[in-house]
Amino acid sequence: MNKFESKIKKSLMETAEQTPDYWENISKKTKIPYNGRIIMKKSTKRNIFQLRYILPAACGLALVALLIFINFNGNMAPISNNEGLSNQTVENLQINSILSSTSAKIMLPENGTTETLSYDAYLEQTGMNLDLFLPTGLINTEDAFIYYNEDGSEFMMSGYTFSDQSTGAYLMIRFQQGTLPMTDVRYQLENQEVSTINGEDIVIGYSKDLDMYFSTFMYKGTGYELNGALGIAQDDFISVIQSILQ
Amino acid sequence: MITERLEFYIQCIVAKETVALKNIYELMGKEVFSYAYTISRDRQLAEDIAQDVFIKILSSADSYKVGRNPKAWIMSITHNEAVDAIRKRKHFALSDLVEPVFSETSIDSFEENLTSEIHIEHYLSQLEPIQQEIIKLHLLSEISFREIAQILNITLGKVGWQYKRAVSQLQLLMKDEVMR
Repeated sequence: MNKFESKIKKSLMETAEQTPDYWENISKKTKIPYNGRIIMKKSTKRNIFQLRYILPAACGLALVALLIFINFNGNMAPISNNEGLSNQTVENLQINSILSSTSAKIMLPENGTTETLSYDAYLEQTGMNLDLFLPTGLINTEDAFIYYNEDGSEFMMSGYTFSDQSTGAYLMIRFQQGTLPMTDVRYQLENQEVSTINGEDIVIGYSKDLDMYFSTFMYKGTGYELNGALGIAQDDFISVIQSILQ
Repeated sequence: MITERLEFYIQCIVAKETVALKNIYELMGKEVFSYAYTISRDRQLAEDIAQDVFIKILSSADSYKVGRNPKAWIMSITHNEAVDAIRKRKHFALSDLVEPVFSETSIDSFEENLTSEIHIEHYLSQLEPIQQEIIKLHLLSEISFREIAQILNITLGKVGWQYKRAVSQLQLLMKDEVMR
């Protein structure tokens, strides 16, 4: 949990503390005494019995979860590194400030379908040949949830997240075939200055408050949306874009 | 610790020690109301929902499976009760040709009278309903994404995605207050 989330949590707790007392009505409806309560009993036979079985089971489960986690992380090597990008050029770099964002209300298709697809499965399904650059430490931590229209075409996707769980830094990439990705958050940029990367015009936004880079563009018939946040360096974010524009 | 205590009290109710409901109320009453309020955005309705949640705990304690997160179980009941109550109220409101209670105009004095460093309910209300629920469940009730996915009957990926979006959105909305 980062500092901002802690602040939200604190505020939610403060607000919850101001909840009206409604026990009196429950007491009337249930006939449970208004001031009644049970004193927590320690080491009752029942508790001991449960703990005897629950604790070993919980420890066992925790061990299995730990082993799965270690195995999972071990197999999740970064998809690529910065090598091989030396031929790429940034002719002109313009980073626009993100002024604000608006939440877009999305109506999902009534007779559409949904599925969760892994990153590799998505590339295979769409025939995309993408060797994505990932900043050091980022691993694929979240598969995308994809909504399809009734005719089977993509309506939108939630995006693939690559994150560094020790620092909180993350990169989210969202694709859509044939059009810019539909998104639930729209960012308003101060300017629309265009960068030229590998000969392509790309608009990049940055929010200091969110420590987040944003870009959305079309390339070879696929729409891309990128969010790099909470510690993703500008150079790395540009390298991610470059790795797409190959 | 709270998990063990809640589990113990639920088991007390199963053993007909119904007075343990008060203990559960003391531990969870505020969170249940807060979550119900997030869904209904109506103080009176939230209180009615919260009361029904505790009555439901009393009647269905034996369906609680030991080892499951009791907080998630209670919040799941809250979610279901709230959805039911809103559906009923909506039906009632429409059949009587009056405005549904959960329209924007129903944000009542409860919210206006809240004192906090940040007017969090005001900002939360600007998010999509599902994002509001996820923020409350995860940050206030400390329920895992996996359990939230079960409560809301959506995928784990969608919970994580909506949570991240909600936090980003709140950061932008609260830009001025956070800078203080």
